[in-house]
Amino acid sequence: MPDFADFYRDAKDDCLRTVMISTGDPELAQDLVAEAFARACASWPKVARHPNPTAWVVRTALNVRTDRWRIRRREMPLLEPADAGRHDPDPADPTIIDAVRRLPERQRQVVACRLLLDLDTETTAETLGISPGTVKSHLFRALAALREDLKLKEQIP
Amino acid sequence: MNDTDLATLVRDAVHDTRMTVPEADITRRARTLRTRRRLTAGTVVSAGVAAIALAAATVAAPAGSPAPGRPHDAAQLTAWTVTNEPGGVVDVTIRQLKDPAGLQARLRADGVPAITTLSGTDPACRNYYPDGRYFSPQYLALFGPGEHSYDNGSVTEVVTSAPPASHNGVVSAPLSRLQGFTLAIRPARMPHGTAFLIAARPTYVYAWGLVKTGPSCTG
Repeated sequence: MPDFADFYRDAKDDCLRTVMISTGDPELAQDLVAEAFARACASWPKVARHPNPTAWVVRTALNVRTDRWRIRRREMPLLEPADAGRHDPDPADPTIIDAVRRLPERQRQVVACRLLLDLDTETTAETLGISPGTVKSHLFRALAALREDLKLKEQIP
Repeated sequence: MNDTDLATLVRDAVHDTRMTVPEADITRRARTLRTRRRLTAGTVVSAGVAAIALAAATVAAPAGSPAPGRPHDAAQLTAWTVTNEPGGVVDVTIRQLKDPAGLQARLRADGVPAITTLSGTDPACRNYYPDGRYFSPQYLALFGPGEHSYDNGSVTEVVTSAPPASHNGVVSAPLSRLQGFTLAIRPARMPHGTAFLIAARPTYVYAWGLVKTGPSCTG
């Protein structure tokens, strides 16, 4: 069984980038991925046997986000954004990231899993709980939208 | 530009994004999750017996008093909750300060040198800050920027705002404003020789803050 510390060292950045692209929020992504890795660590003998532990972490992080959203929707009033005026330390290229953020959430998730984690269509479908055909169509539309968006900003010829 | 080039563009855009949470924080949180899972499993196994015992004890006890033989976990779930969060933060949510000794033991087990009492401020403990306040700008620095906690549909800002009132040197707030509140504590940032005091006068105030530890005030 691989060591959790090795897994964390090797997979943490890829997982963070994937969840950051999926959520569009670097700080939230750090929090979600940390919680997902903690859950992976707590159940490491089981997670280590998963066909793709990295996909497991990403799936868990996205589930944590959904769970928190449900809880907060039930328990909290809508607040002013806590991060108003916050300095965003994320070093990602803002032009590309902004273009990705304009995609619908599911398309962002597919882009993240397929392009950043290099998951195949079937594993992406399993990770996101959608069909392989839906993954293909989301990816096709996302890439077309990105290409068009970036072309308008003259990022690509 | 083909799909491969576009994919490269996206990968390059986030290439410098790095996870900054140390592995030690992850494993610490994992230990908490495992402990909670074991407790939950134990609770499920004994749920039937405990429910019967609790019901019998509640019927036998006077209204409002702690039921003798009440399962410890049940008191924790209703009165207060302690959770370890990433980044070395220990969240304590207090709805009622019942079983203060249990809360104190739990916080200490999670690395917070805590003192909890139901008698108001512990007279044997002195405030850490010389001006007599438990809260101070330095104290607020114990928390990370922007941290705040949510509970019961209300928001208790314990990080970026001043405490709501001061009473004989004790920062306090009416219970009506604190129907459940959460304190986010970073024990690693507490100064050496201090303890985190959580005190309550059962009818009208809660107070919390840093105190100096000593022979008669052990955190």
